[in-house]
Amino acid sequence: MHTDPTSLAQSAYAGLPAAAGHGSGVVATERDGLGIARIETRGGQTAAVVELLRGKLGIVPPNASRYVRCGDVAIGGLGPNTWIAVHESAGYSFAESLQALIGHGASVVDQSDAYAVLRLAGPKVRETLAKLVPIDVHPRTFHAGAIAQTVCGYLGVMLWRLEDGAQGDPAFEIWGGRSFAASLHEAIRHSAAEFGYARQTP
Amino acid sequence: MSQNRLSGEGAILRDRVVSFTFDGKRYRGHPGDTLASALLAAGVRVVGRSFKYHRPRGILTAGSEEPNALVELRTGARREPNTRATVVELFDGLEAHSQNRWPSLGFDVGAINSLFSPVFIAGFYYKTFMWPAAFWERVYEPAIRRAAGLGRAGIGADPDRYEKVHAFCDLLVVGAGPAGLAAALAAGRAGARVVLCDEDFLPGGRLNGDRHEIDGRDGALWARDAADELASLPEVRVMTRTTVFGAYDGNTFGALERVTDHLREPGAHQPRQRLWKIVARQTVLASGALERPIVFGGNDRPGVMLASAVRTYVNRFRVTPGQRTAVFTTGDDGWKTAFDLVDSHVEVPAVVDARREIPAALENEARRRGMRVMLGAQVLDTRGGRGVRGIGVRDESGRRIYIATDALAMAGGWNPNTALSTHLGGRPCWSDAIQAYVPAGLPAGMIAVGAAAGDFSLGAALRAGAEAGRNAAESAGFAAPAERLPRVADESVGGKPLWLVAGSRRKAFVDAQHDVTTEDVAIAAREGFHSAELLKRYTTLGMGTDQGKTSALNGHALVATLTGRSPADLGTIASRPPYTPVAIGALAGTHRGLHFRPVRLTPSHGWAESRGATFVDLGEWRRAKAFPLAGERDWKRTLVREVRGVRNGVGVCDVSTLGKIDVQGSDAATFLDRVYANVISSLPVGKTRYGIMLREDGIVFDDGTVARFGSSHFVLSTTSAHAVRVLQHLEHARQVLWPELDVQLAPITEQWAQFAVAGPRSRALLEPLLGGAIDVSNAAFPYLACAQFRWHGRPARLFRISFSGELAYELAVPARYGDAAVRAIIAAGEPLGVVPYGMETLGTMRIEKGHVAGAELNGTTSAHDLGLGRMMSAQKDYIGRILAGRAGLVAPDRPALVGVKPAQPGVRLTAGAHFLRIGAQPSLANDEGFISSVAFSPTQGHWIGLGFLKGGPARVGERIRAHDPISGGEIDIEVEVTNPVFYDPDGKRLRS
Repeated sequence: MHTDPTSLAQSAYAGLPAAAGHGSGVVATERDGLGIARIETRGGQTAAVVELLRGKLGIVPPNASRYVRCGDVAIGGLGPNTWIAVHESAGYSFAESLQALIGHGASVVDQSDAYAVLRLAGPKVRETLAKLVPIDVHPRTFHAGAIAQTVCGYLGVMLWRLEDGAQGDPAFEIWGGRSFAASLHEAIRHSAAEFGYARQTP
Repeated sequence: MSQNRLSGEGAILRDRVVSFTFDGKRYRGHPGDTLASALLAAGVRVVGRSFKYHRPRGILTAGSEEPNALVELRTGARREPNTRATVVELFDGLEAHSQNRWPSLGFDVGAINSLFSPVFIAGFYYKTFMWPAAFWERVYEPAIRRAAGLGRAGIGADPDRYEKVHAFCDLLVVGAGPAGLAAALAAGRAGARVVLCDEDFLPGGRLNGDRHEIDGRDGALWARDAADELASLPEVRVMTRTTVFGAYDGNTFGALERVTDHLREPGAHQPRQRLWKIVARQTVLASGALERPIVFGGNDRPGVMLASAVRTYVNRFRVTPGQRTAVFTTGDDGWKTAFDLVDSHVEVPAVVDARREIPAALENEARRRGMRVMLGAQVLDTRGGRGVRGIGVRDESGRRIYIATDALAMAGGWNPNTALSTHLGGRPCWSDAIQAYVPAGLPAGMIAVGAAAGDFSLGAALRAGAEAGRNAAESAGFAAPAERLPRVADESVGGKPLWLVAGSRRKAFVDAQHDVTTEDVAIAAREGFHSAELLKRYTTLGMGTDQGKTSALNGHALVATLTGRSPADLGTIASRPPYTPVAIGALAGTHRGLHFRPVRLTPSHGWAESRGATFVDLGEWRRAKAFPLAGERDWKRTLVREVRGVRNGVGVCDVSTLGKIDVQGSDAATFLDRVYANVISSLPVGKTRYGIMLREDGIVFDDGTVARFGSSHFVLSTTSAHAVRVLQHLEHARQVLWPELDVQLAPITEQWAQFAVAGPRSRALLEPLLGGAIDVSNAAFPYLACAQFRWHGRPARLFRISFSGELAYELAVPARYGDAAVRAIIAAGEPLGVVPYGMETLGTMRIEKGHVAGAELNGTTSAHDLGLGRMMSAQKDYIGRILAGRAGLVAPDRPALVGVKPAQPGVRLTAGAHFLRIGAQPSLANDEGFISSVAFSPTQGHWIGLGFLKGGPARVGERIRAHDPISGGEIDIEVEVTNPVFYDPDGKRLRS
């Protein structure tokens, strides 16, 4: 019998250089194993779906470019009647259980492998992001919980502002298309090199 | 060491020495010096030769406005032409070379141009090189370019990195002189986000070059303290060595930060320069003013320098341009230079003021110092060889007096530095009070303060700066109480400009960089080029690397005087970005070489690399082109092996690049009927159908497959090239055209890795691989079947579709398992001799099968042209239906898809060749179509092609010509028109 191919998942960042420069101005962590699902409500059922998610997950899906987290699940607004939902570890079963939960109220599409997600933290994250994205990531304008859909090195990306770390260091998640992971990572690594960059596999 | 270095500290570190070379000769200077100050200290007077006449030139200024002292910096691949010695920070090991001279700076053959100077007058090019016209490109232009031109760019690839950075702020302050510092302090203390930029490496502006007291302390120290305080404020960013070079729409500014230009080479991971895009709610323009030269005979001789620059060299760098330095001024400001020189024990043989009366305070100061004062007098010209030895002065009574001096400081008055105020269309307006242009029509959110606004006193600068900073902070929502203003002494800033000193027969330069003299300006005025813009084009005044910073107004005022007008009537020219030159490297940033653009990699990329694949970039994607075996040197050999491997056995190819779109909703089938030309709603669940989409104009847009997984769930495939555009098109259709339909769209290209497993033995490969997960027998899973299933507990999809024309499947797994899946397919196929194949084989097989692709779906072809007319449904409406029926698109003589093969089997076809009837002249009138795709067909054993031919399928069997005049010599071959499907025309293999 042949190798079980499902036992050999390949991270989006597999084989890419893991560090640059000296120091730890920016520490990146691969966010592997997430369950990611796109939710788009069906005709006229948005209010019902919002109510359902509030009741079952304790999250009111935001009607804006930000996310709300409760436990292992976060739901972010992508556009009218459309959200992206993330589970820390549920993988492919997340989209299925969400679809089962919502029923015919929305179309749920698995996106767990569509994104290469990197958590960026450390004292020099904002200085690094300033080289990468053309938006203002200052804490006064881009608050914890904010999402921006923007560009990074000519690539479309989503940027999530997380809660600051224990040391008060800022933290973000950058979501890029999986096939672009090598180019995106190279842009991040180069930009962070002067501050010291290291990528960890959890 | 020359005696030009004065005692005392200034702003240089005297106890440390740095060594540098100029034209190969070694000199020494101190940290804090510029190349210019160190050269002056070393007694070097001639630093370059002029553009046209190759006249010896020295240092005129102490800033970025320098027209003369342009040098080549560094060597090899880092060589930079036209750097201004006046802003180059000295570092140990700096190497600089003079430019525009041959063979040496001291003896320049090109100086002979001076003898022909009557030839090189204004309008010289227009008048001289008119005839014969053919000579311009071949003779005149190359010769002129050799003789003129400035420096030479480095030839090698730039070894340094450049970056782009974005900044956002409540207040951008341009210039860290007293006004800018005051503005930044006021706004920064209130808590506003402030960016303060200055092109100098030392904040302070004129406070570093002049002697001022602020609150009883040295002005330079006040500036240092202010900069230190600003640096300590968390929301303030002080950027020295940073030039704000352009103002753009949306409160956006471009700035260039010279991060490591002051080092021999950048440190590890440090960029050479950063290009900043700064978005600012408010902008304070505190860019100061530029001093005007005075136009008199020999005013370009080395040793003639702007008076403010002399002060900067004396006070900041502790260097004097000469042991004896005379002063020629038209206002109070020049007197400061005279006093500073004397107070630094430099002999000032005379102060020549063109005014007959000056403030009593100045006269008293001069007397106290025992200076020779000449009022109502003018410097007519300078004498000397490669540097000033003396000046000719006409005194109040008209007498001509010769005064020996090594240097001359000239103070012609100040022009507010309005550059950034004009980039968005503002036009400066003339101020009679200061006899210069002041900013007007500023972009919203910008205010000019201090010298940039024409307020030349220190007190006014501090006052206006602080107020502007406070206002900016308050408009951003911060409370900014008024604070006590620093105490400064009142100073007199009066003056009366002197646009031209007549009476010398020597050349008087208006634009030193472009060698434009008073005579050139006079010719332009005589010939009717009276406007500022025409004057610039006709004489080149104000062109070049300095863009007329020191010359433009003098030129305009001169034309105004010559034509009996005021400079206000003449107007001034628009200054456009960049304020100072910006290297292309900074504009490119990190996007060069392999990082020129991002690349998309397929899920099997790493595996393909490990198999020794060659790659090809197709759009965004990098795809495996072929999988040559060791020893396969010839691409055709690899191709034949791969094609035969698939056609006789089984092959595998990564097709993840095809666009994939998930379509759901109760109206999904209705929606798809409207966007595809053929009917989709009749497709049973578990089946796949080929579909074509038209553009609104009736031309074919894209093709692909539609798989139905549920009554309201479809998955579309698109071509790789159109994946994004098809999604945009569908989004437009559902959001704008039919918002009432219940349709949800999700792009899922990235989610799935998909592999074509093709060939008569593909089923034999998949059966054991997929085990009991899905039954792939012909009965259970016939041609065009599709299914979702679990494979080892993970989602998977299988489609029985074929691009190759063989029995084939496409297996999709989540992207992270793509690498594992392809390895598993290869392992399962090993006993069957499975071949991995790339784009060459994929492309060849689709041409053999007559499938259309990008070359045929080229944005000009209709469904009829492509032989797909039968797919256009008559039962329903769909995008493109009406316009596809336009007469021109259904004309029977439109070229339609055919196959072609060479009449003689060994002959190669070329894509792009045009069809002609045998015997017809190659002309547009005789053109009958063209070849769109060609391939060497391993199954046919000769070249084959697809193309569009007038009359199309009706001409199968006819002999015509394929004429290609551009693919390596004229190719004209006889071809036979065939059915476009060369291989298995009945499609038996697909269904087997």
